[in-house]
Amino acid sequence: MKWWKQMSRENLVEVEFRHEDEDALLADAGESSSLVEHLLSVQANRLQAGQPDSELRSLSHLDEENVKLLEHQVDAAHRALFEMDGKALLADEVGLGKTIEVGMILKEMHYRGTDDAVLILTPAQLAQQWQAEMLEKFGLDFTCNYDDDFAGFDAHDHVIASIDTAKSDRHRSTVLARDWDVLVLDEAHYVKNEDTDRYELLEKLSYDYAFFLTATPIQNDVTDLYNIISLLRPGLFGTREAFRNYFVNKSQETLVNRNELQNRLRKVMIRNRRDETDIDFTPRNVTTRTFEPSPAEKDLYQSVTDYVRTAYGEDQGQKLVLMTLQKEVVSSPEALKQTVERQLDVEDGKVVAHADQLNRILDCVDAVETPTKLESVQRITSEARERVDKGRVIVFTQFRATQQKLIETFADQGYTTHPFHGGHSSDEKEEIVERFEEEGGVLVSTDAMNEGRNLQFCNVMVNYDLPWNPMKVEQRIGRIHRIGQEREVYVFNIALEDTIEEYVLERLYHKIDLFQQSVGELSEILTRLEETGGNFEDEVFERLVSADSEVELENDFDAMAIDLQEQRDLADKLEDFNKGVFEGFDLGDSDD
Amino acid sequence: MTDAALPVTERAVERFTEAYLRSLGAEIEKRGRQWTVTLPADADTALELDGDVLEIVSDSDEVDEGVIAISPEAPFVERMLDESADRTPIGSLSLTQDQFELKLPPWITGGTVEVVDGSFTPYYDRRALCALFHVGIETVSEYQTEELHAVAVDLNDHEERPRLAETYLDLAEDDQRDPSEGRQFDEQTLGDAIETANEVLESEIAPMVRDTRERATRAAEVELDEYRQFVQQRREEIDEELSRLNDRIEDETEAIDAATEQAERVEALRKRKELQSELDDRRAELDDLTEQIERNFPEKRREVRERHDLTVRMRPVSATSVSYERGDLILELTTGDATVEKSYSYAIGVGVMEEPSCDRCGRQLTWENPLALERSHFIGDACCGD
Ligand SMILES: [Zn+2]
Repeated sequence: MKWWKQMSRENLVEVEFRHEDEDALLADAGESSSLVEHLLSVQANRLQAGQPDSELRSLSHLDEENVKLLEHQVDAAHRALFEMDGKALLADEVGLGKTIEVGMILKEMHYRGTDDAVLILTPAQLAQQWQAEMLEKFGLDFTCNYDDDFAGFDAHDHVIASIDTAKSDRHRSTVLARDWDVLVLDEAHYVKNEDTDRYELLEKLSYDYAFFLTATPIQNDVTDLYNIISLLRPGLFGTREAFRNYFVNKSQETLVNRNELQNRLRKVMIRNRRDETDIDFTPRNVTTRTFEPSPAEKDLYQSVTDYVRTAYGEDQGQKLVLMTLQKEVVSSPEALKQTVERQLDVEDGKVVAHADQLNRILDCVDAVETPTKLESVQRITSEARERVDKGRVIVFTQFRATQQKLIETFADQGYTTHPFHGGHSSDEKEEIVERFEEEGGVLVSTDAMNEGRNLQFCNVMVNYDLPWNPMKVEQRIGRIHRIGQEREVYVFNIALEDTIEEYVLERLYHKIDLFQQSVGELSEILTRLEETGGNFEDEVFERLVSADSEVELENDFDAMAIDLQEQRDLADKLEDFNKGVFEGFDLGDSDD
Repeated sequence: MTDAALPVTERAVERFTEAYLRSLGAEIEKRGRQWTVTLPADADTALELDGDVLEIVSDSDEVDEGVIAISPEAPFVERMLDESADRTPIGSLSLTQDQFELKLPPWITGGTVEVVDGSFTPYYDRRALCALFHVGIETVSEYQTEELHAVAVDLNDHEERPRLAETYLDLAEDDQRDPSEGRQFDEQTLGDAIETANEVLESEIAPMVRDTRERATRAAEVELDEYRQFVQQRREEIDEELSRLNDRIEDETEAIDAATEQAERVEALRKRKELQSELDDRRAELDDLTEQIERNFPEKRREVRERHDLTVRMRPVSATSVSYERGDLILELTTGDATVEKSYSYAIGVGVMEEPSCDRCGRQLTWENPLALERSHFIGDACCGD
């Protein structure tokens, strides 16, 4: 007698074991049978016992407060997972939320326990955006290669990294040594060429599931498709020669056998079109208010700019501090003062370079009585107090000292105020946002807000100072202008005439129509720019310090604007081109 | 024991449909997700397809009229599965080394030791039963589970071979591989093997059965407890009723004694008799309850038990005779400076049959404590490595 049978004797509940239908099976013994048919019987039994498995089971675990899913996104995630066996090219047109689709897929994999090791590769400037979005919208916690505690690709199980970091000599071998469960590749068209380092890295990576994202899978010609898809599904298109022979008309370089191409692509590629989805954004109003600085402010700006140029000319190692000063001078005297005092406050005995210039800056700071921007922001908030629900306004600044000054000023004027910065714990942040929703008033936020809160209950925001990186501006606006926002959105930029802010605003941002671009479109432009040159902020700074005259400065910024415009045109052109190629291809929702 | 159920995905259904129809001799003409299918007139099936159009969809409501839906829960798919499941429950296959790459255990691959060379020499053929069992746990009231388990037992030593069960399931799923037939079961051998498999299955579902039983027991106890409380309460109520009845009987006795008129007296006598009979009933009820308490509620227990008892049903639905080669795996291992040869008992489809331990401290080698070489000693990297 086995123990479990014995135990059941003494128990309130008895267990009876029954062996059934053995004779029926035994009766078939000895007969000859086909192995193929037998294995089919085995499979049939297994399928009979299984559950229909074509539902996104994690969906019910998502917080609708954090992410609003659209039908085409759910469909795409579903198809990528269940119909494409977890290897898919997500090629929606720009702005349809491919990141959300991947988030859903990863959430589902997490739910099913198939996400032990996940690697997301992105262009450098998108890595942190991905990290924030996965956490905020899906509760998925990734380590990013820009995190302080990033300890290598073998040290974390869920990693978001810039693709160039992953392929660098330092990390390459650990990235390749690992068997990843899931690989996500954003902006997959940058891995187009079969003989780049990036392509080689991708080809050697070991993974079970892969999701590649791009709105423009074709960069030059249709063979780009061959390259991307061969990474995902080796063999789907046969050899490169066979692909070209069959699908490309050699004399005209045009596409032939479109139906067959579509049939094969449908196994691996999903492309939703904007005009077929129900994405709907309310209008966005952007107003830039430029003011003439007071004489004291002009002096201050000039003294800081002079100092920055001199100091940078002598020691480029100080770049970060100097950049900060240049940004602070247009934010608030308070912000600037702190940094300058810290510069002067070095150990005894050491000589501070240009102490006289720094002291002169401090004198100029003291000479500013009421900053022009501080007056103008109050005009916006007081208008909002009368016309907007609970007078809710979000004011963004990059600096804590400016934030404090703003909070004090608003509080003095009788506003309900809410400071929000990176120092808060995530519970505190949630509380602050809740209180802001309930009580209304003014929320003054440093850019720590980027790590993601939804504020679509508010529709007025002020850029008290402007980040030089357009992505950061778009992220600010994205806090309130998102799916779920039901009202028109008002964005106010405040700038002082003849300052760096005015240049960046007027010459750069407006040239690329920044304030009307989606994150997707912007990232495309900026990634393109980075591919050809360098970091956006650096370029702004270099131009500022190296120009010898006002005219030269203007010319420099115009040249940069032309670069941007060019990249934008190219991005648009590519989008149109891809639209053309995939026109008439049914690679979207299966039911249309 | 291995969970053998397969998720019924669109892809799985599509693959099965094609394979099954082809096994029936069907002609399939594919146009994207639509297939035109014709079965031979003499095909051994109740399905009738003659130029019919099948379409792979995610939801069976999606197809046009006249088109047969192929989706996870489509009626046609269910008919096919039913037919196929019953068709050939017994079969045989044989695993040979030319079909399988050598499979090294994680305690070798997880460590620093590099395998320079490996060769397998088969010494003898073994056979195992790989069977699928339906396991159902039922209670009359709440819990019901239905599962499909795969069990593999060696016919020679009657030991379980879990890794063989996994290989077998993988093989059934893999339509690229083309295994060859092995030796069929005769009735006697199969009967004995099923008996062994039953034992393995029973002991392995024991934890699940125990969990289910614990849940059922808790529910039964709660029910019994509620009943106990009810009895206790009822007893208190009866006690009160008894004392009230006694008071009233006393009142009536006084009324009888004090009655001046005959009619009045008779009325009181009748009333007392009624009360007395009610008192007797209550007393009987109380005695009954007391007895129940003393005997610990036998009837109620029987009733509760009947409701909560578990039945575990085990039904073999397929049996495969799997022949597999067993022999020695000779590995040439190196750490760079030293190269050592080592032989392990190995079986195709199972892998290394031993569970070796550290030469120095005796701890078992696992993926967390993988093999390391120190000169010619085989030690654990975690327990005794440096
Ligand atoms: Zn040891």
